[in-house]
Amino acid sequence: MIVSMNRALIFFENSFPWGAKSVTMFFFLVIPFLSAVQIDLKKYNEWNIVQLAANFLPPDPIVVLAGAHQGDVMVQMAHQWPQGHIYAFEPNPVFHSALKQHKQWFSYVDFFSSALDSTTKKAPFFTSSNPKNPRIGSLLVANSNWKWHYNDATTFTVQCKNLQEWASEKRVTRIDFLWLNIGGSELRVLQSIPELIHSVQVIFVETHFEEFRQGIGLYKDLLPFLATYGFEEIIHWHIPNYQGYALFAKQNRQVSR
Amino acid sequence: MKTYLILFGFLYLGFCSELSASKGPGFWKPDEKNLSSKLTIITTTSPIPSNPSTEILEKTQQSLFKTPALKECKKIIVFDGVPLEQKYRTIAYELYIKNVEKLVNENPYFANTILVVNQEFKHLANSLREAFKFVTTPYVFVHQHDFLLVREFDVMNLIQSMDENPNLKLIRFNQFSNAANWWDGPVDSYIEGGAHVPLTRTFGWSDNDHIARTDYYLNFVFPKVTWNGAMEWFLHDSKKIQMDHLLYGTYLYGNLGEPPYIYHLDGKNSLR
Repeated sequence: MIVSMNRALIFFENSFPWGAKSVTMFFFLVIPFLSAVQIDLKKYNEWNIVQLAANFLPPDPIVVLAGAHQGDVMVQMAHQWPQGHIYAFEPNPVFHSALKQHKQWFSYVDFFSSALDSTTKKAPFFTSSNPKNPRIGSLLVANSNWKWHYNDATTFTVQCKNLQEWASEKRVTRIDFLWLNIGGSELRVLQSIPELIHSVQVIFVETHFEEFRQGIGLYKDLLPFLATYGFEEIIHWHIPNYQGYALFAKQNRQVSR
Repeated sequence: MKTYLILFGFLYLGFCSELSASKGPGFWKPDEKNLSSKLTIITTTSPIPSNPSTEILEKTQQSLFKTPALKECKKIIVFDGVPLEQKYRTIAYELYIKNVEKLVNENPYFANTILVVNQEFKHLANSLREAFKFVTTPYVFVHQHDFLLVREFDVMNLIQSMDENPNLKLIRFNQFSNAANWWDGPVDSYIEGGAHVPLTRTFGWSDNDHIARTDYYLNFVFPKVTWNGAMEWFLHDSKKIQMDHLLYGTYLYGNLGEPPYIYHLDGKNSLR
């Protein structure tokens, strides 16, 4: 490998006597460097969102994960950032008890059974008995035309927290990565943290294109809201007119799409 | 005694001529109506970005009718579940299933079709395993929701060949020309036991559209699938297949160098 590199260098120096060094430098140092800093989005899909987000984050990020369910994403995050700290929220008691079992493995993960919302209060939480997606849960009531999917079969009362108030209580001064998969309340949570949002580097949200639930935050409103805080949409996997997952970041890296 | 010997001689000659004729190509022309007792078509489908539209599935199911005899066969459409990482697709996918239910009642290309819906994500092999619970025929045509059949093939003589030659276990329709490549290895036209249709021996195992023996799936393919994945992840091993091709029994439909029989509409990336 080294021999062939040397041969190539000699070849270029002979071929470009008017600036051999700059040409060889460009080919062997600048081009590889440029390709190294660019993030190739084609390498990423819904299965490795955490790894994609890591490109925009420090190695020891503070992460808030809301809608942690049974911990599948939390485990990925915990492996990705052992030097970081993760705060995982899951209000559904069934999922929360499964989630908490990860505590023994990850000392740098804290678990909370409250739901994130715009204000701190107690509120009903709706879950559905849809076998295709048993994870459906939301603080928002399903609209009647979507009851076939979001049947809100079970309701229980949960403690809701405003994220900014929670951060002050816990003395969390910054959040690097905010993951919100909370059944339609994503936008109103973001709107309720006007100071904390400045510290956030990367946001993952579930996106909605239809009013599946009353008061749901729609993608068309989310996009301009995040743009005002300097967030750029990095990637958006979605089913047009239905739902999706989107990753936003304060742009500090070049991406190739 | 002489009479008996002469009679026996005639009987023996008659038996021999029958046997040799039955091995000759084109001797048996099976009735297309009987094909339904031999072959079930299983179409596998899963969440894709074009859901809830059924356009891709409609195109690919319609393409099966390029081989008119397939019209008579029982059809199963098996729906995989939604993977955890793609739960945002659930609503669109549920609407897609409802739309397919409508097609079964209204669209002639979906006549004689039953739907098998997996509630959980199982990936291709284990999703297909559920469909096999409804198979009563000795052969299955495993068809994926985004593969278009682009040319007619001789299904009657293919089934007849498989009936006669137990070495033919899986006949795949190639999405490329029948030629040596990194997946199929050094393909050739050697067919152990012969066939009434043109075939090419392959040393690759792919879950692209194919006709296979039902018992081959039940006794050989499924036991190798030990977790949720595609069949080829467990079965494709070119070296192993070259060492024991008779065990795998994989062939491509058509002669060496023949152009593709199927076209990939690529449902996964259709809208990206």
